[in-house]
Amino acid sequence: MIHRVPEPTSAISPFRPATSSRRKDNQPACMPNCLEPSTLKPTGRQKVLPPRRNLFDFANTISVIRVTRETHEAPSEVRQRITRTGGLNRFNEPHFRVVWGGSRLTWIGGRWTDRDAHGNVIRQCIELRRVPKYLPTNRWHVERWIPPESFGSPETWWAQTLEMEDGIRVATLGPYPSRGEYEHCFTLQNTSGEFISLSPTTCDTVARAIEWARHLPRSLAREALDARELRRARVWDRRADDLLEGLIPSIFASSHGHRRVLGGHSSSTANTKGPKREHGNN
Amino acid sequence: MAQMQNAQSVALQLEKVRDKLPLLYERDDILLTMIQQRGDVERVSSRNMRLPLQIRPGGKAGLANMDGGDLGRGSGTTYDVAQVTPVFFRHAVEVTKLVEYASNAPEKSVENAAKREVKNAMAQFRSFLDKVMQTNGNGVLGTISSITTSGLPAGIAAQFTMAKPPGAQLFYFNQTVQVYDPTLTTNRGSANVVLVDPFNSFIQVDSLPSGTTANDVIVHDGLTGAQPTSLFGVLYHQTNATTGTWLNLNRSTYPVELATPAVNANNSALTPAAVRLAINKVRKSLGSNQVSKLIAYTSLEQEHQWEQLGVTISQIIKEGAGGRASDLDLLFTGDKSMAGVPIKSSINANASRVDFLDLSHWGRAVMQDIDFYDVGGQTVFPIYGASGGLASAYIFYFVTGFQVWNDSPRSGAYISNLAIPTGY
Repeated sequence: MIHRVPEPTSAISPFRPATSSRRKDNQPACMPNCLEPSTLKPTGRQKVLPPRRNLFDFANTISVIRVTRETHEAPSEVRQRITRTGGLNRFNEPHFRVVWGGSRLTWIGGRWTDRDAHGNVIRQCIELRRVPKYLPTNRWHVERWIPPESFGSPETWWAQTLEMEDGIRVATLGPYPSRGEYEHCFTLQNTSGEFISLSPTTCDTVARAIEWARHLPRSLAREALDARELRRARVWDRRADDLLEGLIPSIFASSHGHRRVLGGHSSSTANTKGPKREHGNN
Repeated sequence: MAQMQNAQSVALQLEKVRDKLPLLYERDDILLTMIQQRGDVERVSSRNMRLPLQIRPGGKAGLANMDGGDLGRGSGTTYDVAQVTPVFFRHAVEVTKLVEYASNAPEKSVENAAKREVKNAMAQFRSFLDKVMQTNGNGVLGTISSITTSGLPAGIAAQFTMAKPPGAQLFYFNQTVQVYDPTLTTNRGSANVVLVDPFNSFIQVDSLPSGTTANDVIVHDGLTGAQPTSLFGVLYHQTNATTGTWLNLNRSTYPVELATPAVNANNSALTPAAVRLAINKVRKSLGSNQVSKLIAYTSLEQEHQWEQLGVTISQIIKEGAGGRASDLDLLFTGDKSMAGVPIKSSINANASRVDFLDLSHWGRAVMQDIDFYDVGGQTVFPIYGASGGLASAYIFYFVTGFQVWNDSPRSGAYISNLAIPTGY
């Protein structure tokens, strides 16, 4: 199922006035009390004039609502499969779930700087916005439930996330996740960053892989990281060997397979791979 | 000249290695290489490289009274210029003739000593530069937290326990270091590192410079004078400090514009909330598109901690089947991510930080690419004995001259003061 909803991000709509924390009528769709697309419609108290049509402004004649964010829901087959794999948490909710980037929203509060397409600053405002949590928004993301205690106590949460902006206290991550929170695990895209379509098998494998690794001792995880570093070093070592292969020994006058007498004749047959360079040429 | 000198001959032979050096320098987990690959490399002379920055917006907007009202005055954009001057680094390698004689035939040695020496020296120089890249531009590799002078083996004058981070992570065996007072004003003298224990966070040195006390700092060799300048590393460009200078600009002049958004973890463990706080700061100030350019540059310690949260594919999976997960190569050979931001970890990275870097804003001002030190085509030089005659040894140098710049400190973010997981 595909839903198309107005973009709740910082993009500027022709109808969207500069925000003010005191004027609720003019609040954009991204404000806390304007979560639904319907709130974009003018209220009875407010009169919104249609945009003045400019003969040369074709963009305004086409549409007054910008639909820029697609929302999808994971098929029930995928949801059931990943729930079976990951199990349920203490709230009887699945440990794992799959979400579409454009559908998964979160609260972000603070001083927002809105910019135009060229990066120029249009305005700054201090507010709480509900925006896509993960980027890119046009990918499927696998999430895992994190228990509330992983975020510390509510006091810790507020101490860490409340910020003061121009004397206004803003909850930069929204309210304390008292029922835990789903956090990003994996973005379904290939190594080139290209889209991968959703399949139960893929999600199942991701969930299994994460769950399996979670139950291993910490030391094994650490050893795996060390093994990766060793592998990187070996890869570089091999590459270095390849690069230097066939070169006449640089410092020494003779080496394996290449007899060389300083100041005399040389029987070197090496350096067939290396580029020929002129003496003294940098 | 009647007789061809040995030094003349080896200079010719070394030519064949020279164009391989930049390739030997590269490794994808080295921050400087990442900057080279993804950022700009500018060739510069000995004059400062100038980076014009559009620091503050101009113009005055506001409500206007069109019924004869005063429209007020205007203003313009604020520009300023950051300046970068390359600094030079050298790595000296010295070998004796005995090494050559002992390894110049397959029946004597299992490996070509010449090739191995060039390779090792290159790896060590690269490692040194990467370590300096983790510092804050003054060459400080560590801070002494305590000094032990008794009960040490012969030949060891002192043992320095180093404050974490970075502990002893940025030192290597046989490195020459200098001790400075905490204000980086007084150079107390130099010493050679004879033992490095990064796990227990101490180093041992062959001499104890006079006046060395706890809280003194240790810098790399070659720095002179008060407040020395070295490579501008991650800690230099990624800071929310509002005092001091940044690329010749006074931070107090632009306290907001030059400060990198930061999250203070207050010695607590890495959590998804801290990561989201840092990433959101970039989103709020620069827009969501900017986040897609970030990498999460961190240490193995914090990468391990992130894995322990159980929200990413563990390295155990990726190391399976010889480093490749056989049935899901397409998915699992990609980067691990931190809230969707690719993780790039390094053994040299600060163990208590996660730096979110937009490398498209980073670059290198290069005066001299990495190469052998060259005098008229000669790249290997004889060592002279005490008598004035030749010693049975050679010396050669790797040199490079560059500086690292960043034209938008606000394009990144960082989490500092993270608890270092136990066992490190």
